[in-house]
Amino acid sequence: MDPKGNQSTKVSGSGILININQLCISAHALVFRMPSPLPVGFANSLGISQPAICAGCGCLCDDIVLRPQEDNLEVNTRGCVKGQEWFSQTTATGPPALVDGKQVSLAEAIQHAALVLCQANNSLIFGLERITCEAAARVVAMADWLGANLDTTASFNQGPTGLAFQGVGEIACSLGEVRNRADFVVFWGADPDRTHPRHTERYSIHPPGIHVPLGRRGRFVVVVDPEDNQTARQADLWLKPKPGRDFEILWTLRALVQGLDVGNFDEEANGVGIDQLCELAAKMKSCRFGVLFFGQGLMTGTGHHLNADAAVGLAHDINAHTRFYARPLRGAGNPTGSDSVACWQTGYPFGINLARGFPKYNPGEFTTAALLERNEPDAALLVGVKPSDYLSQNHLKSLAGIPWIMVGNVDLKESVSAKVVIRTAPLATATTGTVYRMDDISLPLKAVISSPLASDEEVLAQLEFAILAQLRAGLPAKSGEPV
Amino acid sequence: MARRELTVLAGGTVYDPANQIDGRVMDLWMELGRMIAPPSSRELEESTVRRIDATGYVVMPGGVDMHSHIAGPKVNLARRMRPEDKRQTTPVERHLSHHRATRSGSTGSVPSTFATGYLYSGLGYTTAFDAAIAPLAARHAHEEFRDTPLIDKGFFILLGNNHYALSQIAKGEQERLKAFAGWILEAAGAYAIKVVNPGGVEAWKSGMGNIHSLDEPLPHIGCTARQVVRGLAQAAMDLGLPHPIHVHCNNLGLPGNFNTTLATMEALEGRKAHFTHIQFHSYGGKTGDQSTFCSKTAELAEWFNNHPEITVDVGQVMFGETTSMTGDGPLGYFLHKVTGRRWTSADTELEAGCGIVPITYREKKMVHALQWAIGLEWYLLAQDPWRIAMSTDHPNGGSFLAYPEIIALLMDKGHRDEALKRAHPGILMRSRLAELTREYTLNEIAIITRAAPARMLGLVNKGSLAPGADADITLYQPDHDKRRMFALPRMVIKSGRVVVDDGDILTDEGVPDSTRTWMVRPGFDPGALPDIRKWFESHYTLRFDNYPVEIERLEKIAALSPCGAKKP
Ligand code: SF4
Ligand SMILES: [Zn+2]
Repeated sequence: MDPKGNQSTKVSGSGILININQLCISAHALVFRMPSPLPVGFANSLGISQPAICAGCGCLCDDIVLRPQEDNLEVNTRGCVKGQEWFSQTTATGPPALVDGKQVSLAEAIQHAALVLCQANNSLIFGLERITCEAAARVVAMADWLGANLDTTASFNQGPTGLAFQGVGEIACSLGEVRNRADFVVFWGADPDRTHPRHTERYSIHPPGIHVPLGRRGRFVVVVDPEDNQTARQADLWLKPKPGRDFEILWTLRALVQGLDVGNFDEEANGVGIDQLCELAAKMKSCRFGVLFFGQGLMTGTGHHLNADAAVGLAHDINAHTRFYARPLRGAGNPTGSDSVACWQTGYPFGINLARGFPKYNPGEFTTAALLERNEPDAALLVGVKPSDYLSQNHLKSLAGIPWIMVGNVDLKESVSAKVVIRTAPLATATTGTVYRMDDISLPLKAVISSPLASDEEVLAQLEFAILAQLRAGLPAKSGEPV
Repeated sequence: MARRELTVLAGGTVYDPANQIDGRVMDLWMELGRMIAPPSSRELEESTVRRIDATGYVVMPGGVDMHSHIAGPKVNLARRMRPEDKRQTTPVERHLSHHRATRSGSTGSVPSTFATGYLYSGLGYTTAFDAAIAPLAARHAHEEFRDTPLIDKGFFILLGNNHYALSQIAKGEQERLKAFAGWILEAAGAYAIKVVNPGGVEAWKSGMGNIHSLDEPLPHIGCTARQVVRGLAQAAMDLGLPHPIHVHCNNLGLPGNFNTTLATMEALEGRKAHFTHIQFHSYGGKTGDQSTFCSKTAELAEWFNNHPEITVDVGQVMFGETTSMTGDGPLGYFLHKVTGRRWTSADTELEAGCGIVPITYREKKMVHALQWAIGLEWYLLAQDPWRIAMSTDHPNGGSFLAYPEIIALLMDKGHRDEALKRAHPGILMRSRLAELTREYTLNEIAIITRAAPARMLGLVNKGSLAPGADADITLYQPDHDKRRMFALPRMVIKSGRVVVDDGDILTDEGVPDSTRTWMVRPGFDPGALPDIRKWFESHYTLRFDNYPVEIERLEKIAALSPCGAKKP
């Protein structure tokens, strides 16, 4: 889910045009020293349509068409404005690497960054949102060599879900299962039309599927959200509980599904009637294949991980009667992929500390917000993340007090207080690598244009190499260690 | 001319059953990662020789695990679900020095990827296959393999509940099924075809319960488990795959399931097949009546002993804490209900299901003790060790780290009797374990842990030390205590390089790994492609062109090793 809650609406019509100068620093590139002479311009011939994947939200629509033209890139996101924004996000003009605000070569910046990190005792590595899995693998590796804290953006908006999964497990399915089978769809604290504009078209409400040949007409759609909700316009039922009552209502549904007495249900405080909930519980039990998508609305406020717990628990209960799933909606970039990489390399998806020489996991202790609030890190590397998307003013202040490094395709305004800035090629159009859809399905991202900036993967591989070399240089002289 | 660089492993006591070498003191020569014939004196003059003294050590080919769960979304979901499991076990520490750089990792029943590679290697294993990857998860599995060092790898893809496969089977389109199997094996970069609870997972995903017998048709598709197993077994044979279909039968874990297992073996009508974790499929008794639960190993083993086209791995249960993870979705739910513990389930469109549940096997619990006994019965009643492979179905029956203990139980009747005394006494009546006196020899251990699984997989360069084979070798210090002997190899050599020396992992993760991912390129009839494409585009949620793994990218992370599959 878009952490900023960006508004976007569906528009009809195909393609928009983006000025090519936004995508390549063509003229400026010549004055910068590049690590290797990267071609400026399009990887593929002009005028030919290229299939592309949009990572503007966790839907990862892979039916996008890009057509490089003489001086622009034609983008057809099949009507998704948010997708169009994704393909236009790019670096404003500026140098590829800076140290203390001064332009340097990539090689110099990498050596500086490695030095900062190697000299730190308790560094923080955070982000990994807008990078490929291949690049994420390098970041986790360097966290390991450095003994750093490693945290992904999941700690801000998916952390509660992660904790819920450890409490009760998860009942997951790929989005194609929803499309082919679901006859009952709930969006809880979620407004996909706003945050995941093509979710309902491609996966959840409209498409005909093997067991739902009628598409929309074969599905019952429920929205549970106290807020203004665009998706609710298409729903068969919109429950508007009082804000902050999700926990209560989910547990009441659990009881109703299990056929238990719910006692005195306070309709006024909760903002929904018990009859409505009874009907909903009955519908949940009698559908053939149900799915509950939960969004940011369910995961805010105190005790929010208990809400996710309850949502997954409800799905567990309903499985005594029919097939039912509960899934979070996830946001732009590749957060699912990065969590996955961190998990297979360390055993944990976020909130990891490697200072003792092995992975330790403790959300709330080793997560970014907690670390910055306690002013614990003595250096930081932010990679593939826009700091202002997640960090509060206080966090940013804490960050400004230590040497920190920014690697990514971000606006320089975001990194004024950084010691080292390395700017990389945009993920949307100029990166090749693996990205994961929010349902854990991996997709092959391919560069459609070339960028004068190096890719995240290249930069991070070089940074890992430099870190290893510097750490080794600091070890006692070579002894007679066996080879 | 550049001098050749040879290595000789001198004077070890060699157990190489694939080449009829049973405890012979001899020298083994290797060059460029392969075994070579002993060089002539002229060749020696042109070479630099590195000598490793193996005098007094037992030398075997590197271990081969043919059925394990080490990569892909299912394994990663299990890691994510169980942080507490890792806190109770010793993690793998990072090591960085001038010559070595190894990564840290978490352990427990589902270790992280680097830890998995080091632990297997530290145990003397040099090859391991993941047994259950949905084709749609192939790219993810390959990514994890890239981060699993020191062992060669490969995986089997789930086809026994694949919609396209099932509908071709229902229509009797055997040729199209064969083409589809060839195409999807290539698209996934996979090694073999796996069938899990044929039809049952699809029934469960469709809200129709499960499939409990071979001739029960799947309501909405029309085929039966019998047809699925038969059709895919035939397709694997027609494609010339090095490993036949790998079957996880219907009714896993249920009392009385041995009937289903036997019927499935019979349904093949002489076609080759591998029956996996056979222990979980060898139960007598009536559903819902635990008092009738008993071993039917003897009945199944008798059939097995007379049918050379069938191979098995055991899926030994070992006592302790572990994680059950299966492509058998309804089984996961069943275990969740039985154990009352956490449950993760994950279904993949048009292809597969998955269930994950923590489980603790207790020796004082009758059912668990009996499962343990049934596994051991299988090792002891299977007459031909070349057709039975050691496995715990890691981590389902227990971790692969339990292999040394299983070896000790097989080699030492006294050790077995001690263990029997500790287990629930009910098993004495319900199984024949106590009366089985067979003790495995070192040669037989070498067969069931490397030579046989390599041969069953059709990996001609593995499980053998003949010239041309991969120089994957393990040295053990002979020890009366077989558990200690096999838990701590003295040295492990992978592709001619010493990777474990006295427990130290000698590798540098700062440089690319030289391990390989094994996959088949069986070819397929391109005429079938338009139909597959049409089906794909109307039902999947991604583009057809984004489905196959990118072979060019895989080449960067692992050398492709096409197997000797015949072109159709
Ligand atoms: S729905 Fe999301 S992934 Fe799809 S085009 Fe829109 S922003 Fe991109
Ligand atoms: Zn298995």
